[in-house]
Amino acid sequence: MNGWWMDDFISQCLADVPLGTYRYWAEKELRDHMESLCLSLTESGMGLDQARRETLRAMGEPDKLQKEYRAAWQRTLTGRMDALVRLLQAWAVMAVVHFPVYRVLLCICIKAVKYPERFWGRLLGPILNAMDYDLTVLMIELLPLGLAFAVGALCLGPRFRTESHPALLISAGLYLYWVWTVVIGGGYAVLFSNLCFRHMVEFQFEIIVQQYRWTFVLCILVGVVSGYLFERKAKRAAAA
Amino acid sequence: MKVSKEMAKGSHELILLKLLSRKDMYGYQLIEEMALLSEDVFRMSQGSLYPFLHTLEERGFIDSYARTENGRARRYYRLTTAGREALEDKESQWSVYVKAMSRILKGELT
Repeated sequence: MNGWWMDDFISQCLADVPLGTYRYWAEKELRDHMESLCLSLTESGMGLDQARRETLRAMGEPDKLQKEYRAAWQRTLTGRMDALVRLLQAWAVMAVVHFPVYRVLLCICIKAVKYPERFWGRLLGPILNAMDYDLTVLMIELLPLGLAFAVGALCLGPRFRTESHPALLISAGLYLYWVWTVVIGGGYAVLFSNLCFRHMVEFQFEIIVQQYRWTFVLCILVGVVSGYLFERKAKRAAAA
Repeated sequence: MKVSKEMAKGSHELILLKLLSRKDMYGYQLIEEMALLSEDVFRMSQGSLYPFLHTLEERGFIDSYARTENGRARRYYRLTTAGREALEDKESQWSVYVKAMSRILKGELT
């Protein structure tokens, strides 16, 4: 029996479930169920069109089922392997978004650090100039970091259990980013600078060394804050 | 006569566990058996059956395996040891519930 008539219904039910083993089996089960029900109705003397309509009616409201399937899928995301895969996916998306944005902005911002008044204008320039040099670099770093992790969290948020606090994802991403910067990023950045900005190599390397320290502080800070927020949310949910 | 959805909802878990304690079944078979044995009193939205089964599986009460029959691969569900224990517990809870309810409905004095 041709299954086109149930395609819309099935895709609507599973709209919030990403491709993967769960979706594969859920789709197979729904299709098989609907085919069996339709066949049984036609065997009992119902016309084919009417049997299809009756099957769709018996299956229930797709909007409601969409939520049920999503909730059931989310409940399957409890294994260590799942957590590891999702963490790696989060890291990959964030790293991909972060790397170009960060590198481009950093190169622009080097000038801003060197000549704050010319870059930031008369109002912000003197303020930034008066600030601690490390703090200025940290502020510059926050922009691409925030952008990258916000995009990452937005992309990956729906893939996580509803009770997971988004700050956890961002925090995990930041920790991983720090490890990545220390282990790989530093060397890669120097290479990148050598290729594009030969005259800035020494200066940029200095900044990179400082970033290690500030990114680490930032990671700890976000980790502590997000951990606190998550705990509070979990306690509230448990109390409710 | 059909019972209200709210009333039936609470008994779906017990019914499904009981049906699976008799033999391994796939989704459509479970719906059919449920309707047949209860003479159509217990019917659930058929699309809701699978998320419900997946949740029971996640809780460890049932597990599933693929079996091919007449060239068609289907996912069969079976009761686990934890599921059997849960079923026994629910059955005894249910009998307490039914006795208490019938005492109230008959207006018996304690």
